[in-house]
Amino acid sequence: MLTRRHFLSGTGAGLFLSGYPVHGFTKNAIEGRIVVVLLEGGMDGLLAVPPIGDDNLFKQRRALVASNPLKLNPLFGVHPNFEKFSSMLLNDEASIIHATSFPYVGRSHFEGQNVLQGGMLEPFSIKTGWLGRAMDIANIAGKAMSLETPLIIRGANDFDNFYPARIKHSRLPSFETLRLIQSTHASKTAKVIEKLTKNSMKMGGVSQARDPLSLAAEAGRAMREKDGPRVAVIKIPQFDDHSEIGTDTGHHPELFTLVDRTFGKLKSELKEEWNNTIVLTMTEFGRTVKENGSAGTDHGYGSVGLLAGGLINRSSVVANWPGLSNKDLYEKRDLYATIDYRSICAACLEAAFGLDHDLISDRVFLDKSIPRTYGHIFG
Amino acid sequence: MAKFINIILIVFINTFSFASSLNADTNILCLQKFLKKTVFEPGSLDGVWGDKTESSINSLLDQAGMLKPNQKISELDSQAVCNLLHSSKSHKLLESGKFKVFRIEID
Amino acid sequence: MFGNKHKWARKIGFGFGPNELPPTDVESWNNSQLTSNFKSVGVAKRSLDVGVWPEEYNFSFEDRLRRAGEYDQGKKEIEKSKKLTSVEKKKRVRTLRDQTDVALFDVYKFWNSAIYGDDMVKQRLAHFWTNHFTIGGGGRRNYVIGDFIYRVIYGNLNSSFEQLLYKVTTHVGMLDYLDNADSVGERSESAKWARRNGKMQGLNDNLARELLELHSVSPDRMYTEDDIRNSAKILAGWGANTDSVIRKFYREQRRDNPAIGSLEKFIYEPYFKDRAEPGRKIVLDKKFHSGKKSLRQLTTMLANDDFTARHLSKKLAIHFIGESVSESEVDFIYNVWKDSKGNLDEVHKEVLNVTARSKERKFLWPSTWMFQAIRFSGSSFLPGFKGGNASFAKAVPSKLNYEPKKILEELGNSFWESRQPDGYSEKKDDWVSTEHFDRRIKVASRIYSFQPDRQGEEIATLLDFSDNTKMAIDKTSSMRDKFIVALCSPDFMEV
Repeated sequence: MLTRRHFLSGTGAGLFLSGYPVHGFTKNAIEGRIVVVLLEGGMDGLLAVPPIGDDNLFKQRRALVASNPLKLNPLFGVHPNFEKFSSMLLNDEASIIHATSFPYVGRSHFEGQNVLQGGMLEPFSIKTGWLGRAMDIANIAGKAMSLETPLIIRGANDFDNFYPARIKHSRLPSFETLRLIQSTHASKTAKVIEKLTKNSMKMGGVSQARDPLSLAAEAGRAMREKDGPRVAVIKIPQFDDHSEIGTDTGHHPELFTLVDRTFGKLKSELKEEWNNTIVLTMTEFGRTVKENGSAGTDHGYGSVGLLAGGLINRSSVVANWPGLSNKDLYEKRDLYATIDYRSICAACLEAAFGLDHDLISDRVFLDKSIPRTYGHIFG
Repeated sequence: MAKFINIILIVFINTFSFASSLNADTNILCLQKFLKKTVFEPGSLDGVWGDKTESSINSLLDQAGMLKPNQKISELDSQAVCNLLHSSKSHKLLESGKFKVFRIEID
Repeated sequence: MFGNKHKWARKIGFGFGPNELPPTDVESWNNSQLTSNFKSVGVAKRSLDVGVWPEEYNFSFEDRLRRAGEYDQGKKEIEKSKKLTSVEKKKRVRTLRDQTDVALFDVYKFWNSAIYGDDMVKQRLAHFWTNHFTIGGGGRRNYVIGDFIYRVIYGNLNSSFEQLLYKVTTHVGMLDYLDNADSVGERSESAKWARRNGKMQGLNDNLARELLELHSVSPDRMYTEDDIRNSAKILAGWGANTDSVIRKFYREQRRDNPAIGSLEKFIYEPYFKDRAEPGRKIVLDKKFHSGKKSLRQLTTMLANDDFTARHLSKKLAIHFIGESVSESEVDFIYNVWKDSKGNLDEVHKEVLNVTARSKERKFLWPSTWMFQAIRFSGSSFLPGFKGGNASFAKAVPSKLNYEPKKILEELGNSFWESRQPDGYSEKKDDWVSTEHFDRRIKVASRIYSFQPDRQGEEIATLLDFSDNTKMAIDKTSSMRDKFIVALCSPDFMEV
């Protein structure tokens, strides 16, 4: 795990010159917030953001094009279920990245999620996550809205989980009893119980629901606080629609509504801190261009990334559109990914944490060749 | 003798304008070569100012935030633009040119 | 050598409950724990006597695969329907699930074995090996997790690692989970056909990679990407998804494939010749010829590799002794492994010996901790498998209490949940968080609600808790809270 101590010994003065604040050394606390929304299963980017200006869209997947997409520009539309997100697009506080993916073509959920979260090209090659490494460098606290600590946030020095227990007919005992439990444990564990005890005092006002929307609300609330976390990770599962994916209505469109509402919830709970926030979706791969035999789609390659937050400068769709004719597809089946999504993650880190792009590509992604897209989104 | 001088004058003038158009070609080629390194396709590298060259250079500069509103680059600007492409702004332009940004155009 | 018998029984098993008499001769108890045959048991109703686990809740492998297929096909039919409303569809899918599901019964068996079974050491070993050979659950694979745990893992605890590795690698659940069902040799008949029809099919490396990295030799062996690739070529052709393997068998049969054999045999070695990669493969400098037998040859080679012995010896030591196990402790187990050629009886025996000599403390998995808490305290927490008014023969999952399944999920330690192939962590740090502690405390409280015979103070005395912890229990006012403090102290969370 790359600790700040290691980094300091490596570059010394460079730390200050690059301009990012070091805890305890400058007055500038990190103001930016990042929320990563992990869409598990593989989101169908063409259904979410149909390239309506591309004739091949209808030729290749007629049955899977929504009948009433909102037209964003001559080339792209967006699925009507993205209501709140569309208002954000109109307000210069959202953007879409299309035909994008991490450079992973294996189409396996496990490997894909591991690449997405670990940030390495080779699956299962690292025990920390890109976000965790960045948090460690910038010395930032985060919150995983799940019971387990997802790979993406591992490597951070300071993080906590939030995922209310569902154990019926049980509540935490009194403050005194919690203190007594704490007293039996050695320091590291005792600190954790102390945090639990503190949290339990606040429990009254906190919802115990754990659907993505409620978790988003809690994340927003926590990140609004002065000394609250600056990073949150939320999971939305079940995008793996191999059959009956839906078009105007149906399973995938319902998930779009959920993602849309999650963005809305984050905005409403973050309140004024929304101006300092960037939310980004991540999915392990897109889905096949053509429909399979069961009105669904299989694992693919390129998909979309949805970004929202006040840090965005001007709304746009960023895409090096590869086209949808058979010869333009990856292995004759998938939308090509012409934008390396790592550069989007890097841009978000740059915008929220003030980290230098070269530093990010070198120390977070361990790959100096990642292009900079900061200007396209935040510039 | 006058006829001879006229001929020399004509040749001279033609050579001069030929030389000017030579320079114009180099500038356009300069633009086209730069565009080739971006996602804004200039068409063929022929030094000729065509529709593709015009729309591509305008898109690149607009996207990089280097055009004033309603400003449009034409063939006459090619030398100035070529200088810009090799100035300190070069890096920023190349970076911007790697990805295409489609604005939201809902009314 | 074994010290406090109660502590020992917790170290390698689930502890002795209030109605269990610790053995006089611990050594022979250890041996009989490893080698005896045991019957599965369970409680029909809460706080009723322990009886034999009903035969009707033991589902055969074939039955499970059929049920998985029925659910898959049935669900597709329902979802396709244009007449039914969304609400109606959901209701029908739930009914279908009820008619086919077996997972909840498997979960009940899992709980009953841990809390009431005599075979506590074998159960612990089964938990270890099930985690080592992780098959992520969720969805269709939940139909076979129980089969994997009992028939394959538990059923091979007394054989050799070589045997175990082959049975695990050829299990439909494993082939499904690590995507081998999608893996097709590039020069196979199937791939040729696919290319002619404009489709792409190819190798999937997942299972091959994990077979080497996680299941056997580990990266210490310094195998190359070619070794993985060639292992994938040997594995190509094996497996189908849990819910389609029977349907695919019949399809093969209709193609007049005489080598396919009978369904009863096929499901244990699901090999599709037309997806296999022809030709010779080299893995770790050894040659393998094409054909079904090559997989067994590969797993045999890997099982007998020195690095496998080392890798697994260390994992076993860590699981029972703790994270800071020493090289020499691992050596003892490793030497027995080598001498016995991976005979699991010998290896497990040595694990117990080395564990007995160790002074280390191991931070237990939440599920182990919980089973021990229930068993040791004598709480009647576990609901009976005879739920509601359902009779034995007509037991239906929805009539049973789902809490056992849910609590395992809440603890983040369920074998029926989706997770990464490297399984649940052995590191204390990974189980210590505010949310994890929140759950432990609540579960402890819940266990107390079902009349434990042993209260907090007695637990502290029997298990020799530290003075510090005993003092904390003493200071606590209510009996419930004393119980909670005892169970959530390091004295009980570690062993």
